[in-house]
Amino acid sequence: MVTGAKRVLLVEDDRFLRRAGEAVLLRRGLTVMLAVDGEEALTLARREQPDLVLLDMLMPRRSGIEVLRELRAQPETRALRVLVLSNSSREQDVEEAARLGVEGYWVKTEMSLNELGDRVVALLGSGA
Amino acid sequence: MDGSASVLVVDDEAAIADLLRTLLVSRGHAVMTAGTLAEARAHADDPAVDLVLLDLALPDGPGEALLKELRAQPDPPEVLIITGHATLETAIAAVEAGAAGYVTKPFDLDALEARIDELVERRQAALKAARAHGALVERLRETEAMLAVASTVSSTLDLREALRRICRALAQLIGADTASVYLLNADTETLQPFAGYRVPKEYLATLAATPLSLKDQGFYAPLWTSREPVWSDDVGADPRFSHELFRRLPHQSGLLLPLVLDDAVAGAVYFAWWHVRRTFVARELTLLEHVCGQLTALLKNVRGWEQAQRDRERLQAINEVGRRLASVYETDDVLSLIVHEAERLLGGAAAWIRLIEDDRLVVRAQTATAAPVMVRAHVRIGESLSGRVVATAAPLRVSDLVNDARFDPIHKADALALRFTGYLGVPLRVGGRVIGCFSTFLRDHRTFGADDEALLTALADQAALALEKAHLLEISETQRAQLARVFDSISDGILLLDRAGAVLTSNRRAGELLGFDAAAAGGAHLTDVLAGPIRDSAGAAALWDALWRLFETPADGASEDLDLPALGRIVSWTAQTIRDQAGAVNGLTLTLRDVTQERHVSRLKADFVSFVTHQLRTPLSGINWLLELAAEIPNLDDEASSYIADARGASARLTGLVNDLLDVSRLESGKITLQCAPTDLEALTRGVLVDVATLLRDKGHHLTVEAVPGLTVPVDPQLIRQVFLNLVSNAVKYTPAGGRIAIRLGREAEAVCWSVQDNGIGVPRANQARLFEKFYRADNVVSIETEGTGLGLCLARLIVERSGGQLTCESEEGRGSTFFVRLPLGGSE
Repeated sequence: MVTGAKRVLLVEDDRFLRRAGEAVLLRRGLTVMLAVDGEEALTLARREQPDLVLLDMLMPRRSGIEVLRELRAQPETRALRVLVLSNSSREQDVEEAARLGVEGYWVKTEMSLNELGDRVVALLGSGA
Repeated sequence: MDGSASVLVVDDEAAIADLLRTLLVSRGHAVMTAGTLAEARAHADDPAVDLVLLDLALPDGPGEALLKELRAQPDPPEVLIITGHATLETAIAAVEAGAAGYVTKPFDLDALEARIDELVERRQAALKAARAHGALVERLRETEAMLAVASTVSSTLDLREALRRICRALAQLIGADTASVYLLNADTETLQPFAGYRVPKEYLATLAATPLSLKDQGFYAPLWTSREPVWSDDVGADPRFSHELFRRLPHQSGLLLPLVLDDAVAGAVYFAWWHVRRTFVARELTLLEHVCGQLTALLKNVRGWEQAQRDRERLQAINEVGRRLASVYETDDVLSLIVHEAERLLGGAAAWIRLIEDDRLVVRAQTATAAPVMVRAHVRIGESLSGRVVATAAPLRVSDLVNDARFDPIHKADALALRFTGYLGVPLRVGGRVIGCFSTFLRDHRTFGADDEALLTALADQAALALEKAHLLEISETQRAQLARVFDSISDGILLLDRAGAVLTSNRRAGELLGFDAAAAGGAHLTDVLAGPIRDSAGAAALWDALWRLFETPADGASEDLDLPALGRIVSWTAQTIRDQAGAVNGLTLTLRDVTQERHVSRLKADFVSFVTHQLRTPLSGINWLLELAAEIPNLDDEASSYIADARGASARLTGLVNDLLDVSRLESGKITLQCAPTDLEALTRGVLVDVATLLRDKGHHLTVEAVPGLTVPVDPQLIRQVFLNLVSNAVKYTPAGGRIAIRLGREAEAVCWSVQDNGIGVPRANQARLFEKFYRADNVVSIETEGTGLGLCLARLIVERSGGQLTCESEEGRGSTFFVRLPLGGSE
């Protein structure tokens, strides 16, 4: 990418979380793209090829795990880095996500907003 | 022999007759004289005449005629012819006619005298020879008779026929016209005719009409006490022969001999002579007594044999009844068999059984001949003969029904009409209790003896046994049916298994739950029964393994769920071992309950909790994060900052509550997977203490840690950390400021024990049992701290148990508490 700023696709159906997440990522100088459901997430991921997808699990239209499967199934998105950011910690989702390949599986209630920002930056810094 | 003889002188010349008489008398002979043939004939019949001196020329006929008549007699006397005109012809004729010789008149007295002496001597020698021969013949006859008696005694067991033959032999021996044998009936003390030889019919008819009562007889004393023969040659005039028999059938002579058996008179033999005056010499009587001894030997043999025969038959019958009793289940069949056997064996005319029903006796079994007498279906206890047997609980023998006042008049009339004369009844007993009466009738004045009573009692015992068996069978059948109904109507399924796993029995519900035919499953192996409903045979094998472990190490029991996808249901099974009387485990009961609905509801509940918490977490995260942003707004005034800080505190508490709820839900539903790793518990504890350091300092507690270094166990560190944190936080929270808190870590046999002790408020005894329940809070805690959720200890317990350990508490209210966490060194598996 031409610009130096890392590009993050934040997939989140809850508007309050979307707003807070966008704010903390922007404050850390990241470029943020927003998707409100699974379909939009797949479209944007294919088109924009973000440096990191922050993927919610429970969403309308297509669930996070379906999005992840689709991303991994397509050659142009297979290599995208994905971080699950969810409040669902269903065992089978955690297992499947790990099998499909993700950077992590984070539970939103178990971290502060600043922790989230710091860890994303750290992740992008290390993998960039 | 003194040489004197009896001489008859037949001569019509008186001078010669006188001369001869003088001569003969002088020689010591007895002399009779006859002048004519007719006079001579009157003397000729006298058997005592030894010698006849016979003149042939008599006025009323020739002397030869007398000679001829004399020779025709048995043992004829010697005859000497005396003739006046002897010719050779007459002499030869006389000698040919049997005369001993002749003398001619006038005769030489000396020669005649010598001749007479010679003839008398010859005659006496002849008589002596004849007597000897007669005695010999007599002995021969006696011997033959004895032989006949002896051979009869030893060769026949038909007493009547034997006695008849003996009567004949004896009658012939002693020349009696008739002989008869009587046996004593000890009950009636009468003599009853038993066998006879040439006994006239009127004779028997007389006896039948007038019983020969023993003691009334004139010959009782000699015959029965002295056991001597009694005889009379003039029965009609002899006062000893007083019985009707002797008047109705008059006879001249009679002889009665006793039959002695086992030192008691058992009967008598009677010989009669219609016309002859018969007298007896001692030798004859001795001989007859000897024969009677033989006869009693016969009686003894026969009676012994008859007894043995009867005993054998009775034993066989009792044996047969016992055998039938074991194999025939129909009580009526057994009872019918028993009454018929009783009738047959006792030679009875009828047999029947009455049983007590309420306060009456009801006919339960009877032979065909008994039926007509049983006109009254019921008799009361104590009434009639059966009722008396039951009332007295003792056997009853009646030999004379006609005169028995106890016998019910209606029954009596019927019984007498059927010629029943005797009765024997014994009580039917079960366990010492009289339940009825077994009765028999006899005909024709036959009587029952002690062995009959014993036999009937034995049969009565068998009948009582059959009734008792039927009664017990009925009770157990009723109980079995009741139990079977209960067993089948129980809402849980029940299977009884033996050690080998074979299904001994199962109820209907078990069949419904597992999808097999409970009625047909007996004996099948559990895994075969389960092969249908459990598609995966591993599931059935796992169940069987769990049960097998119970046999190996009998515990209180085992319980688990069995998923039966083929039947679309989940069945919870509980197994309990069954022990035999010695205490060894010999099987188990498997109780089955359909928990499909229960499990479904609980899954729904778990899913619901899970869903709700997820839904709660999202807005909570939004609040937390937005408040975080708000707090970072630059230049906020203090008031706004403090509100935001409090809002963040409240939100954090809510988040904690929701997270705990979610953890509890996941642990309870088993949806959590432990991430186990060897964990140093001391290091874990130190980490926890960092988290609570501020709080600890604020309350001024004194904390000590005693730990065995390097103790590691394979657990999920995150979860165990949560447990330690919870327990230490509680200790800090629920101990008044300045308290003492001690954490200890040590090793036990197979586990590591971690504990935290405080000297805080403690847990009231009443609350201790429920301390680890969800949402439960001790009474004394609520007043100190209102923010607790009642989930902390529950969560801690769930985690520890999930890790294979135990969480326990020892506490005393106001003194403090100690919580122990024991974790297995080998981990949860």
